[in-house]
Amino acid sequence: MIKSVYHRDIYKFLRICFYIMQLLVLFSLQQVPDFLPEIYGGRPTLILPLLLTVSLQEGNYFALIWGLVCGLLMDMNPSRFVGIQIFVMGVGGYLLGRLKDRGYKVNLKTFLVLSVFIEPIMILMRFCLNYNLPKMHYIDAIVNRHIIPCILYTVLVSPFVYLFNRSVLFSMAQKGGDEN
Amino acid sequence: MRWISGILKNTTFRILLGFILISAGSALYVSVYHENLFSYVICKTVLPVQNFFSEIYRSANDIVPQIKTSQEMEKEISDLKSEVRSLREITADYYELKRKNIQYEKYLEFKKKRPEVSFIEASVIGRDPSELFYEFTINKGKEAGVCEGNSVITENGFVGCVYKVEMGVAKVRTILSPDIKLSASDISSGDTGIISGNIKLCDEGLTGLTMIPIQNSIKEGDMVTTTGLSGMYPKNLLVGRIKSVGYDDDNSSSCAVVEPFENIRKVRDILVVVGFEGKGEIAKSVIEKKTEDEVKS
Repeated sequence: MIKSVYHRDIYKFLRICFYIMQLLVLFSLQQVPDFLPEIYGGRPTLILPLLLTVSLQEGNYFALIWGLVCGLLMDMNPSRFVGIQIFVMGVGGYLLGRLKDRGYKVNLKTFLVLSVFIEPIMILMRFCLNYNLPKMHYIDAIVNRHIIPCILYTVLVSPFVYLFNRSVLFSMAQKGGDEN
Repeated sequence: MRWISGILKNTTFRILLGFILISAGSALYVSVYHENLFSYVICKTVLPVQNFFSEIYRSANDIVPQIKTSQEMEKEISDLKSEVRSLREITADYYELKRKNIQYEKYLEFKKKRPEVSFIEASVIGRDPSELFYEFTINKGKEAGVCEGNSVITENGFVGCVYKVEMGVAKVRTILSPDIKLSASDISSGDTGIISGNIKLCDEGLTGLTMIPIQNSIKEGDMVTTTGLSGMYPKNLLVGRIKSVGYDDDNSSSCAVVEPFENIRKVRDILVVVGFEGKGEIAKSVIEKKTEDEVKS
């Protein structure tokens, strides 16, 4: 029994380490100039699919904290107003975590459905709050050439982030099970 | 009351409350001491990883040759042909100017000609996907002597200015952004205006020269340089070439589209101008003009 609890804690610790490493790597890749090629002027926000994946995997408290951490990291870089991303991603993470706690079954299909609905909202909010879009000139150009490509690109890479996490976590859990 | 005590006992509410208190505390700290602790901690954590990936990508990019599609090649050939055609048509004076322009474009030559200007070399390490105007992060910050308002240039021309400095990093606003207001003039005619971009021009890698007097002699192909009137930027830094001239209805003045000499969307290595002659001084002409205006009013 004690050994089982010990293994569970180790597994949880490793999982959190894996999430943090992944967050740093994805954030860095997302920021490296020209690493991810632009598609019609848009580049993906890799942290969003990670937020979705981890929140749906872990549940509300962890998801809330994870959302706040992701938001803090995002806020530090474009840095127009610190706090917007923390709020958006914190609330987003919490709501996603609630879904998991209420027994929402996550698989590739349901994840895709969620990413199609949630990622556009979060990206749109990010642009809106960062740039005060309603007051900007050429709003149609911003939407067509930046926001929509960014949304599509992010949704496009989301399944890869999800599947990568899924496979790594699955193998980690299996290893933990063997030891038990 | 039961409802309120229920909310107060809620763990999520407590976490949120705690976070709000921490945020408020940090905001208070920032406003009092002008130091962002979060920013410092994040920079210290993320910067090594970001530098690492930036270096890997840069090394890989140097090894793997740039692959161009046939369309890009065709476009490049047609551009070069038109360039050659225009070069054939130029006069001897223009040729002399072009030669000088090439000299200006080279960093070393520039440095020799501008010994009063001191630089810090830096590299672009981050471009956020949500930036509309290609703002970027460089790998030099407070500790290297970078300050807010410093000009950022390359051997080809003006790129932008630093708008935020932290330990180890600084953020640069480019001349494609509408938030930048840079006084610039046409070399040939001497007409002045304000460099400021908008999203439509930005998407094509162009910027605008606005607030030009209606009676001007600016023509396509003229070169634009900084005037240095504000004392914030060195004067005579190359900015770009006039692509077209038009009329600005909003300001009742002329405006022009400027093609920057540097490809700002792809720039990797830059120079931060940390010192130059006349830094912080407003040109006498501006003061005199202001005094005249005051007397008139």
